[in-house]
Amino acid sequence: MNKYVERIYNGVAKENPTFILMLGMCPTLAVTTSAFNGLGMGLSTMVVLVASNLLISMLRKIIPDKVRIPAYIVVVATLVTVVEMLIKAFIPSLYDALGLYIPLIVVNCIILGRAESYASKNPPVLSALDGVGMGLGFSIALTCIGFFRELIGEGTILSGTPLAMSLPEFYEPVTIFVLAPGAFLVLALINAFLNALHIQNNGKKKVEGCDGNCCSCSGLADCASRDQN
Amino acid sequence: MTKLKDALILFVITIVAGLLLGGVNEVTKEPIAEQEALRIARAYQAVSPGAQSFEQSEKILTLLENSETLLADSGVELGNVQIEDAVEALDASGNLVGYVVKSTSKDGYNGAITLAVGVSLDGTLQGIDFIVISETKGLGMKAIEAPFKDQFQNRTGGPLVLTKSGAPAENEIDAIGGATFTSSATVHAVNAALTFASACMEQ
Repeated sequence: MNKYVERIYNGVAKENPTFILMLGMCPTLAVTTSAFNGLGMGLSTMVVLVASNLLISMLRKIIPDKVRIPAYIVVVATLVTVVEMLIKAFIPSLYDALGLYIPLIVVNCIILGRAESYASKNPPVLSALDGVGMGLGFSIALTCIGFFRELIGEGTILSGTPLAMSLPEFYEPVTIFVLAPGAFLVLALINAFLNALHIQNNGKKKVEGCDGNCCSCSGLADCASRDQN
Repeated sequence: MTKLKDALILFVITIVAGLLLGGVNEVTKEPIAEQEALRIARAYQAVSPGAQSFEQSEKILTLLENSETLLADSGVELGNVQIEDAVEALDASGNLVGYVVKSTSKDGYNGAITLAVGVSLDGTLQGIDFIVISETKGLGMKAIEAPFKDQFQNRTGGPLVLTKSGAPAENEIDAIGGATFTSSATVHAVNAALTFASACMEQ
């Protein structure tokens, strides 16, 4: 597939930020109390991700390597704060719906993670698409987790949307699923399910313990299997 | 020399960021304040049906200044609450029809919860509207939705009491499952407003 589509496929499936990269776990666990909340958070994060990837990629030749982390943090924090102030001032209805997510997005590891591992080393268009792919992957993951949590924990389906439904009266909701422990449980079970389906790229196992995910591997420097996947 | 250059570039980035933030802040300050005022006006209107305008007489301003002692002396368990503002609700002919009290409880799960509380002249709690609330989505934030919020409509009698039993009595409010902090902070803020409103009516 062409390199632009590859970025989208990468973010959604091959290196899904929630199930493969395991980035941004805190907002994932906190905001997935329903499918709609998960979707809202995911899409808001995607917008910030695209903008920050674009910005960092455009500045990548200027920012010196040694001070890159503080530089990225300043850029991302400024971007999010400016966006928040503008929405608060000029689109209050949007702020009412999504305002709560914004402070959570600033500290989302996905933003800094992608800035560091992709946007700082690649041209703007690809970086922006990487943001779209990762954002979509994140949104899909969050919506799934939210879907199951509200189904089991509250007996509702797609609450907060026009398609909202409820399970029949006799279903006694297992409330723990909408609380913190439930978040961990659902996340882990979905992950286990996906692993069992070998969604993950297994790579050519030349090296013991290799699961094909070079990006999060600590033995990258001396690896014989590197870039085989 | 490279260390100095690196530091200089970082410095430039932060200066530009700072200037940008300052600039955007200047541009958005007024619109944000306007939105705030609009939100408060809407909340006041929502909790006082029949009111056409809101005023603040000398009497209510004096009471506001002494609101802290008033609440402390009331004997009602209120936690960390504050009366931020209060107005008299007047109908089209300028007659007093009730009060709207803006009270804040700092005991929310995720910070302060500020409400507008509408009380009619005979002491009936007409309803509440949330002005500031940032609780957990799906849990505490359910407070702004129908089942919980509507419990505060047309309640008579004295201070309200929180219950988790699911079958609230005459003066009880059913808490949101899994969001006790939010529910209790709301009840405290409402009770503080009721206490203040009855002080307004006494004098």
